[in-house]
Amino acid sequence: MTPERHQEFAERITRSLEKVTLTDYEAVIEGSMLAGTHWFNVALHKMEMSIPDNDVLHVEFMIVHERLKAWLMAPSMVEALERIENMRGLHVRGNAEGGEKAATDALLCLGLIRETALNAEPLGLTSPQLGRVSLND
Amino acid sequence: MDITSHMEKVERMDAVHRRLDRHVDFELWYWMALDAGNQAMNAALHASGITSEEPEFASQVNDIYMCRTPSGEWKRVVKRGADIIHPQMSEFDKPIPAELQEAIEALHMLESFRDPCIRLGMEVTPEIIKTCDIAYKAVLEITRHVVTSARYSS
Repeated sequence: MTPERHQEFAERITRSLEKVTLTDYEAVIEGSMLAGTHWFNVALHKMEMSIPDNDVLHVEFMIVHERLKAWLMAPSMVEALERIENMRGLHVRGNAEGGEKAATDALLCLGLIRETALNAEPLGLTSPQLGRVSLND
Repeated sequence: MDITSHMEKVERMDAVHRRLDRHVDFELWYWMALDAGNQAMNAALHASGITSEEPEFASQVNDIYMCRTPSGEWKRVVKRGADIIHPQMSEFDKPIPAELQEAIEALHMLESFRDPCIRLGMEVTPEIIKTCDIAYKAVLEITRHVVTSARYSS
């Protein structure tokens, strides 16, 4: 999707998050993951590290070299989204204590990812189509 | 996770799902249904003896679980036959009863809209919302029945 479309999704989901509270920590974490992933794609597309037809669905499923490049260019953004994803096993699928604290952290991470995306600019790197590596090549 | 904890999660997630507007808040409305449906499925799979109630929590990757160490830290471990993350990504070592298979197919139907509508920008039509709602209600109705039946038969 285009950066503009990702941004629409991220903003819609963030508006929905205003209807839940920290006691609904599963929803806060999941909404932060969904909105954060859209902002993450905004950033990668704007930095020209990915093309609009190549969206990240989950940061931990990124191809290793693409995740490495994204981390080298925007480490705090990559780590923030990974941090949200890591909350899901403990507080969404599982019932570890500290769900509300995790939800607070998830919102902070979401804010950081959003800021990175809004400030993202083309980095002048090799076209992502040329840098793409497939195991079938 | 144990059946009681899964069903507590279902109630929490379903409460948020019902509070949201299915049109305005479609993404989170949908995602809470997906999460609640998967929790309910885990409870029913445990109640049917197909998977086991285990203390570890499912991660994002099949067979990798979050395990609490005696010192209170979390570490990743590999195991099989505990909580699932998606039925279509799971292998079961025992046959699935027909009733539960119906719930799995309903959950598949619900999941089929996940990436297209939530992540890849497909237009969400009233028909899609209705289909998701019907599938979600079917998952909850069947799995709750499976869990309740197992409770009374044990």
